Amino acid sequence: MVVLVIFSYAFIIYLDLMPLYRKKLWRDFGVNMALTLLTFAIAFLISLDVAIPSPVNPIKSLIISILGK
Amino acid sequence: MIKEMITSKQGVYLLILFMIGSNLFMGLAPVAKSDAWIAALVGMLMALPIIFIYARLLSLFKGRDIFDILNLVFGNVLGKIVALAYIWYPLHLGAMVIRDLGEFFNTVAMPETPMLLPMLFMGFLSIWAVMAGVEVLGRCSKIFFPIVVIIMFVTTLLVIPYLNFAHLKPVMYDGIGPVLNSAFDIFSFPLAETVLFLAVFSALKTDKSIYRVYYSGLFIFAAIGVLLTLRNILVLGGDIVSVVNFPLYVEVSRINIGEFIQRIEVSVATTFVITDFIKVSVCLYVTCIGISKLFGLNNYRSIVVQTGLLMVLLAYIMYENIMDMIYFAFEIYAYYALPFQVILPVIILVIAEIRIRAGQLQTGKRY
Repeated sequence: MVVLVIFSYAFIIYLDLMPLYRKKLWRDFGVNMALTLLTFAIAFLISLDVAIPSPVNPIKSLIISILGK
Repeated sequence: MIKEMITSKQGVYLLILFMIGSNLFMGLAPVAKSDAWIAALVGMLMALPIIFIYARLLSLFKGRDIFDILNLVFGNVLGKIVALAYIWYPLHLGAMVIRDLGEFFNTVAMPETPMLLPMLFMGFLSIWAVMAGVEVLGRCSKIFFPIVVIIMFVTTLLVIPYLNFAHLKPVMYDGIGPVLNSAFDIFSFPLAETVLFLAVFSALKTDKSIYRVYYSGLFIFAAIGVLLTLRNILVLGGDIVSVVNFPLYVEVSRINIGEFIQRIEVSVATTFVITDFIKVSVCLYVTCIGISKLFGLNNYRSIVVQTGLLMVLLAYIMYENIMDMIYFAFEIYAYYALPFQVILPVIILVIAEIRIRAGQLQTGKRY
């Protein structure tokens, strides 16, 4: 699984990120790079079977604390 | 760059397929049991004023999307902070819809397949569609809408022998409370989610009023939604509808005519995938537009792939199991979505009206 993730990200970076670098669109390149790092981190952790805390849980507890359910 | 345009008819179809989304298959208002159809009607009535607010915002700033409007109304800094909310909301909504699909395949259609797989493929499909642009989405919806309607119509004809009108009684046995509660759920789950179209309908090529597009979408969806909810109750009964996770699928799976026409529930699964695809694509499109406007990017297409992947991964880590999902969708979501759907649009509209009256903003121009 880990190898699969790394290979597919190499493929995605080659197809998606490199053209932006070649066209010298630095803003697009930066934002895309940041998003790529984020999704790669999540995908890598998922492939290692790490339990990632869900972003929904804080929302849930916030709403419950407001409504008092 | 030539601006992409969709016609008003395509806009209506897009709106209807978006609202059908995943909601109809999870059942509208299961809490209200046999009164769900009344709840659906009340929900539509509740949605009328809020749809007016969205349409008013769009007609005030013709040809501009929600992020431009925020920038104009709130100024550069505050506008960008509020825009963050409208980036997070479609991202989360899209993830929820993808997760619906994953749970549907995992529990009902293909239990042996890992859940990530259908979600990933739905993500790829949406990325492809959004890369192609909003015009392609409009044309997709024009093709898909008749398919969905025909499947709904044919299955409605086929369930006629199974209708049992005794299931409708007793009407409002538990009082009006659960009905109003479910009406609020329906208001927030499919109907007021059309707030996202504030970012899509800037591409609308219309000389007719935007109100007409919004309201015709709402009324056609109302007809489909009430009909299908009523059908669910008449075939299955209120108690079963409130327990089953995907009532429409269960209902159609009961069809068995002459030992020949049976197991046609896969047709319902088809409509589920089609409408889910449209909904995820719209959510992804709005998120990408938002991010590109926030950072002042050259083109929103440069980030579509990564945003789509982020959506799929978020969907995967979001809930632990289907019970978690049902709990969030029916207990928490209505209150969580309220700021995005009602409070912020009302604030934006009020400030916009005040600033227009004071002569600080120019309106009515086509950009």
